[in-house]
Amino acid sequence: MADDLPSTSDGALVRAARLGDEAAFGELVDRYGPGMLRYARRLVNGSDADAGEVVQEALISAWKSLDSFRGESSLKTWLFRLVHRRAVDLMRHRRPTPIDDELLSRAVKVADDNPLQDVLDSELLEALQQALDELPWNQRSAWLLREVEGLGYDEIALAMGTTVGAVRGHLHRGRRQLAERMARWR
Amino acid sequence: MAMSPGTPLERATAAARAEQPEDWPAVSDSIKRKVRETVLPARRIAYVSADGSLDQDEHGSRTHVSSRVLLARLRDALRFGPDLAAERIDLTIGDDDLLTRVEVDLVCAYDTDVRQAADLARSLVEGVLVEVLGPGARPPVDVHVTDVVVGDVRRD
Repeated sequence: MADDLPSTSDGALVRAARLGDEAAFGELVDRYGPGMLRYARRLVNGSDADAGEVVQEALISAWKSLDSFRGESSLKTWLFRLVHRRAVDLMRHRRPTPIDDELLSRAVKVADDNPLQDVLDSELLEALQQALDELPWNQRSAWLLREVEGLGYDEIALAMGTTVGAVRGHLHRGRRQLAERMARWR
Repeated sequence: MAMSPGTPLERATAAARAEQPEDWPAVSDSIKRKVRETVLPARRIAYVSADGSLDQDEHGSRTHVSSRVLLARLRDALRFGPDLAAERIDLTIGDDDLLTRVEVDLVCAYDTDVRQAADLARSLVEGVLVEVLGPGARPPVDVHVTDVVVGDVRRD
């Protein structure tokens, strides 16, 4: 099915996958998996192995529980929620991560070195990861879902299991913190 | 805080959006392999001879088919064209492994004659049942049209 119909909608693919069509599910995997992996990697401190584990667990879980997807959110939001939950579980077992904003105590470095005029993307991404690693978990997650993955506020709230108001707060603080940390690259 | 074009955060964000994980093909292959290896719940269903007997010889030998196999065949049969597709297929299997009822939820394209679609779906299901479970497999087949979509049900 997936090979024959490259523009198949999420709904049609979910219908087929629920009935056991592995090819249809495979198309959903390739449609949303790269973004899920990108999100997971940035969320779990840039670890390739952890990100791969999180996304695999999320998508296998999705395969087994497609019946529980009721279409109340988009499929993309539902899948990102699965990634988020597994990333939370993994990080809880791996290392302490600040959850509350009040716990954020790292000093922000002042941009006092020589400016880099033409920074390579890879260097910028490395700097971004370092800055993200310094953010509290919720700010990091909200920022990634909004600014990188393009989810709406309500979708982010569903993915993170929180409220839209909380998302707005996390985003506001996360954007400010990241801008301050990245300013050293100016 | 709005990001102005050209700020380090703006450039980093754009780079992050454009990033395509290089290891995605390997992760994707691993996921698809695990999906294939995942054993979904299934039950065995008895093959039924033309006379309604489950026994296939004088010794009482029986033949069974996994519900997973039957569901795959039904799913393929109901992927009939642009006007109808199965959304749910439920099999009721008795304690004696006999298939006692099939329920199918159908999605039809807008403007499809739902009665004709239901009749067609029922006919397709009955054909598969006989083919897979034997000439005596004649359980009731309930068809419900549960949704309509605009366009091709295989895509939309």
